Amino acid sequence: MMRKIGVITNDENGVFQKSVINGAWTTAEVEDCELLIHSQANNTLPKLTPDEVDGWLVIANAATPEWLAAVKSAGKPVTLVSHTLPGFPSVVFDNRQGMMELVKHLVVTCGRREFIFVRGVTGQYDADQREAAYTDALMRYSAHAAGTINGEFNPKTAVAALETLIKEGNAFDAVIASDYMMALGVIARLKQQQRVPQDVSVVGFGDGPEARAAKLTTVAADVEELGRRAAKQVVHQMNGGKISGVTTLSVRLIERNTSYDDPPDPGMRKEKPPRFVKRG
Amino acid sequence: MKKATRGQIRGHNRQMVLRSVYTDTATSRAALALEIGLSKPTISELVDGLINEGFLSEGGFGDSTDSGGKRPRLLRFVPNARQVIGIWLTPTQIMGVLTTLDGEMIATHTVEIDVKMPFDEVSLQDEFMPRLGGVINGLIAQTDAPLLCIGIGIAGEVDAEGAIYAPRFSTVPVIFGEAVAERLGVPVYMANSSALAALALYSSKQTFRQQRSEGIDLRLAMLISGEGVGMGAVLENAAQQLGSEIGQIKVAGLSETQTLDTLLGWESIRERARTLGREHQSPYLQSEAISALLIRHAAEQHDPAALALSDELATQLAQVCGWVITLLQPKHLAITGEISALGEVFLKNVKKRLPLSPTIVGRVTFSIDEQPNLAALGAAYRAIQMELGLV
Repeated sequence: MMRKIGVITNDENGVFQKSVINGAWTTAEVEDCELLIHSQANNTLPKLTPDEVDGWLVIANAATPEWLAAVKSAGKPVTLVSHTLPGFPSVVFDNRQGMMELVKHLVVTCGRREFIFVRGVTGQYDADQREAAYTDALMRYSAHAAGTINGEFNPKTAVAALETLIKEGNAFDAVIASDYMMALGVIARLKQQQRVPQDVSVVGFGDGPEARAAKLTTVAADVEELGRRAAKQVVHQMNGGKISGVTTLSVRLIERNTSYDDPPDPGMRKEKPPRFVKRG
Repeated sequence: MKKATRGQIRGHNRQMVLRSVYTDTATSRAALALEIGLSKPTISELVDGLINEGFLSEGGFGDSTDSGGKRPRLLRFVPNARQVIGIWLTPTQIMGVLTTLDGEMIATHTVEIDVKMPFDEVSLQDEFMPRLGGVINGLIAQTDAPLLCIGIGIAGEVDAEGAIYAPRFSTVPVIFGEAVAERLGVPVYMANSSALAALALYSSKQTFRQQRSEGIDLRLAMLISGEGVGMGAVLENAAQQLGSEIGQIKVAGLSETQTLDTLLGWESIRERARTLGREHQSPYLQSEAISALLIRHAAEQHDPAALALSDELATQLAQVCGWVITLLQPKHLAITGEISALGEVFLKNVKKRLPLSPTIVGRVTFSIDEQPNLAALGAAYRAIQMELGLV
């Protein structure tokens, strides 16, 4: 009989969540499993009927710790996606590595020094991790924090907060947004008065069709890959493997046109160095 | 001396073929026969075996020889034919990496050790082993190719069976390589974590790869200042790898209780930072959460406590670097661990204070490397080296 993986999400149509679910489907097909999506936009978590689901994927804080504890005591495997909770295995992106690469790029390549940070939703795993890494990255690359605004992973909120900051007259030459949709909102607003990237560099976190169309410099977190690997983790548990701890996936910097004038042609990137010694 | 068996000779030849293709030394059957000095039929048999196992693929054509003739079919190494797990055991965390055969990292997996250390015999079984299993399973879940082997690094005296003396970690020998190998059905190799960190840098750093491709025998030494102080080295084109915890060494002229760990171990540095922070009324160095990045940032802001601490650390580390350079005569000395976040300015200070003649210092290059998971990556590289002969 086909096994079932329950997926709990806040919003199955959100850009991020949709990509995670797409990735999870890839694994589900290979492993001959079915996905049951439960979008709990109205804050109701599914009842735990023991035989209905063989394992659970929970995306970005979509379930309460109490509900998760109940699932655990019912003996059903759980994998958390993009957040962590002690006692539950999870799969996350390396937010720290990504933020370090963004700040390094802006300081070393683009020569920026005065930074604005657009934070996500306080208390949400990715948002908190990215903000903590941003603070460390500023110290690491000797850059200056000109201000932090609340974007709550919502472009409109981010732009409204930026408006206030501009009115206050804060000087800045770089903006890092905690996700790419907020970065795109920021660029649209800044372009009313300034040039991006000549006057201000703007970068985001994560990648998607909108970011590619706008040629946004960002760190690519392959969200479908996150979903694919999270589903692999839950299937491994369903097969009897006991997993504890956090699986972390790397991200990579994608230099496009919103951070500096002359991004390298992808075809001209340095080749990987030789693996090893060529004798003679 | 015992004669090698046919199986051993065949295994050795197989490794030679694989290594020659991996390093691009010879990439066709004819070139392999010339390079290794075996007959063409023997080479073809070995190559066919490696193609069947998925380690090599054949495709495309090379240039014909000067005398004309058939263009050779090219052989390529397949990095993702197998995957490898590297594990690093520390007193606070188990960190694992999943890599391809050329060391590309696919995923990392970590679990915090939240129980009292060091482990005794009972807690080693009841507390530690389930956590180790949890990390290994976490990485096995992510494999996209068969698992070849597992490498494990731990601070202490380590032999082929495991850590026979790892006092920071356990009161009893940590010998479980065989048990893990039996349970998972793959070979497990254990080694000292400082040696593994040095091997990881040797194998992965671009400048070193470049030097090695030019045929330079890079003698790499590494000083690690993390939870304790360790020293690693990779010598003789990676044929020799050394590693040891040197934190228990007592320093002449200091009190009975002072060791390198109390001077350069990260917990002691943090404590010293707080003391200096209080003395100088530092706005940076009085909190509980002191990181190397914060010390670096405070020093950049000319904070007197941070500057005093950086000077102290540079003087102490320079002394240790002096010993290492004199003993091992490396071509390159790398500094890693938490202290590496103090950065290039700190490294310059260390170099200024080296108790060696400029001639000797001039023969050595230096770096400060911030990669956090070197020992885990090194454990994977070591396992690949042991299993396939590739570095």
